[in-house]
Amino acid sequence: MVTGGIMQELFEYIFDTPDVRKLKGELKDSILFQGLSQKELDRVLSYAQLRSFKKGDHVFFEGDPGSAIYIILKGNIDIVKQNATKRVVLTQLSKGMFFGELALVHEIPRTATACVEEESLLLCLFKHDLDQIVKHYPRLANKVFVILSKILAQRLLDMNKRALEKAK
Amino acid sequence: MKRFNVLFVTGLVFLALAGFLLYKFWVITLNIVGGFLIYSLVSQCAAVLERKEIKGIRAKAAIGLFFLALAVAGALFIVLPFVEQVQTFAGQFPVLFEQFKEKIAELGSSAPFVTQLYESLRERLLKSFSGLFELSGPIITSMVTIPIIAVILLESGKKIKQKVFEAIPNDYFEVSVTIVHDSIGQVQNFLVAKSLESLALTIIYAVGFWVIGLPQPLVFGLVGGVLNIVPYLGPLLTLVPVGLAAVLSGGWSLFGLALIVLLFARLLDDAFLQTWLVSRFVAIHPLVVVLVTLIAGEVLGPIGLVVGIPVFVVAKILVMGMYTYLRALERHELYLAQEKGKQQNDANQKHHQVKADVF
Repeated sequence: MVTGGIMQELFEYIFDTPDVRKLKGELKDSILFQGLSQKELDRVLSYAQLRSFKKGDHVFFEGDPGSAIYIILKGNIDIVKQNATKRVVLTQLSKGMFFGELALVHEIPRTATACVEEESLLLCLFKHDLDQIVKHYPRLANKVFVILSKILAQRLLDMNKRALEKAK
Repeated sequence: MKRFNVLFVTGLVFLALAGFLLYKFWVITLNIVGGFLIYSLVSQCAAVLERKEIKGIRAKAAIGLFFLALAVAGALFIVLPFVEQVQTFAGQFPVLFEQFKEKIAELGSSAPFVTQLYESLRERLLKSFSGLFELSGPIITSMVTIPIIAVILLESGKKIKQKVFEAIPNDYFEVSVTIVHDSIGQVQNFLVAKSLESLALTIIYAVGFWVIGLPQPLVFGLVGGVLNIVPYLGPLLTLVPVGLAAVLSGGWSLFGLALIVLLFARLLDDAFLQTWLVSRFVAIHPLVVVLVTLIAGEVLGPIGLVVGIPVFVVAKILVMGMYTYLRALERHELYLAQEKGKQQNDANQKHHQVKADVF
């Protein structure tokens, strides 16, 4: 698609609701996109997709071949592990948080299920699209990966800390 | 019978039916595939321009000019020399054909089966040539419709994709998109790798044949490049026309040199091109390759020899994608049933609790 041009920008401006525009604007404050300029953020957004989910929907299921990261623009998501007898909520996520990031760096099936707890609006970035960013905008992709690595490292540190506290 | 098996068999039947329809209405298939190829190519160019901050009408003008230049260069440096070589070959053909017939007659006197083989081959070739003339109408129509399809896709491809994605239910969104991306990616990689390999071999063959003095090196280079799409058998199939042309125009010494060129190209292909480009995408057992090629050749004729393996690879990827998708469906249904069961349990417990509180 020959992208760009005044007409396309106008089309996007008309058909994006003010709410969505506001939510997209707030993305700059999201931990995943900190440090990106507005132009770089717009570029990432041009590859991402907005998708709304109803309460009770599932974003993905444990065991699925996963390939996307999701940023919560609105609503709440539960990350759940379930078997025939037990259902454990691992974590509850809300606006501004993201999940599914392992699929971008590691080709393993989803390790838990993401359940929608209240009507949500998610921004999805598929690995396929991130690969396009890596191919076409390597500096931008580098920035995103550095941020992602820092977040994953921080999570690992937190987990180590929690494991140590538990051991005590 | 398990539900998965029923769905999988139904899916296979649908795929086979789709394949049959695509084959039956091959002109439509050709148009769609051609349109998609041009769309992919132009999209790549648009992405390159976008990186350089060239957008909108300027991008369209630049792409238009680029393709115009490419068409002019192609016509001047490839099509014209190719047509010239084909014309020369056609001019020499009666003489070469007479020489060939004499050699066949010589061989036929000592081994009669050679004459029979020659007759059956001649009939098949004549049939193929008359078939080629019949194809000229649809091909000329396609030359007009393919660019139109490409332009439509360029103008609305993103919106079509969005609409298709929106139609997928949320519970199956990620798994569907992941499998579609994987399947399309694999098919694209395979086609790009095979095309690059064939292009490289065409150049190697053409240069090699030109160096040894084989007539019409570009024609035979192109024949070798196209036939290379058939793994393992491609080089052998190339040897037939090249060997014949070499024996008839320069005797056995030229045949020997042509053989060296073919072997050299094979060596380069095995050592570098296959390793770098194709091996990841053509992981098919040699026996399967031979069987698929034979069956495709029997069903579709000479075209089947060329398209058999690519069609098989694409079909394999689609079937594997369908398998993964149906397995995911099975898992989702199990999960949803467990979830429903638990909700029912919770509701029952709550009900009993309320009853107990009342009493």
